[in-house]
Amino acid sequence: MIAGINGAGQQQQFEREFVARPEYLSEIRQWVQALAASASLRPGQIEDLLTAVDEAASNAIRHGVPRDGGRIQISYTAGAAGVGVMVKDHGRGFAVPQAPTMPSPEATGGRGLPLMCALADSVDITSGPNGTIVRLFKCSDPAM
Amino acid sequence: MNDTLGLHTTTSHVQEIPVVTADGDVDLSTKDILQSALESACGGPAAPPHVIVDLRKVPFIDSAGLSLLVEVRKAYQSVCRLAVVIERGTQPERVFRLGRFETFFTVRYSLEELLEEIASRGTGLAVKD
Repeated sequence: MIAGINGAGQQQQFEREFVARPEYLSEIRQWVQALAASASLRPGQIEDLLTAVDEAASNAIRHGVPRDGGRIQISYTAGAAGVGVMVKDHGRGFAVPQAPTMPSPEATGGRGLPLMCALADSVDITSGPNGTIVRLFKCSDPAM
Repeated sequence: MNDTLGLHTTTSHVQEIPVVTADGDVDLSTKDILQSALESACGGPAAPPHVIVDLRKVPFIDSAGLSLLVEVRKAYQSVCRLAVVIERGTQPERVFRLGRFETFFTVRYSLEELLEEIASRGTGLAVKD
């Protein structure tokens, strides 16, 4: 794990690797939740962020086909503007849809990306033959 | 009771209706536990007309959990209807709304309310096909 505070003392950065297996999802959520507890986010915003992170990590575990020992990297950055979480896998990548839309309620899949987009304030996905990076950002609540 | 990976499921009967209660997070690692409990409740030679899924003790459910509910609902729709109880103001309610699940499942916030509906409507309740 890497932890640091920038010169202004306002930004926190943490990075951690997790085994790319479903049973580590709970640990990933707990790790992000513990870090986000000190951020300027309301409980509902943290809940939204955790759901988005879980979906990104689930996709990395399911589709990432990690090559480097079956691990995914997750980094957490918190500053005055908000909280960013990056989920990185080393799979073969996928075709990123321009605007993921929530499928019909009858659909048996396809909700991961739409949930990420609905629950994070910004989502950036870079995917290629060497892996996928999902960057999620949740803006700070100015009232906090 | 199934008690692995942080998700517990129990099946009880209220007014002869199976109620599958989940306690814990439902995600990619635990969804099979809930799926197994639901399939046990819905299946069998004497399949009940209704099965209630009580998620009021589920603090977190992700898209894998949502998909399993759809899969079970579809697999047993000819013999058994799923209805769901959730807690207001929780993460499950939030993702249910985003997924528009209230248009596919009967979703209520009270087990008593759900039981009354089932009793009053008979086998016609539950899901909008």
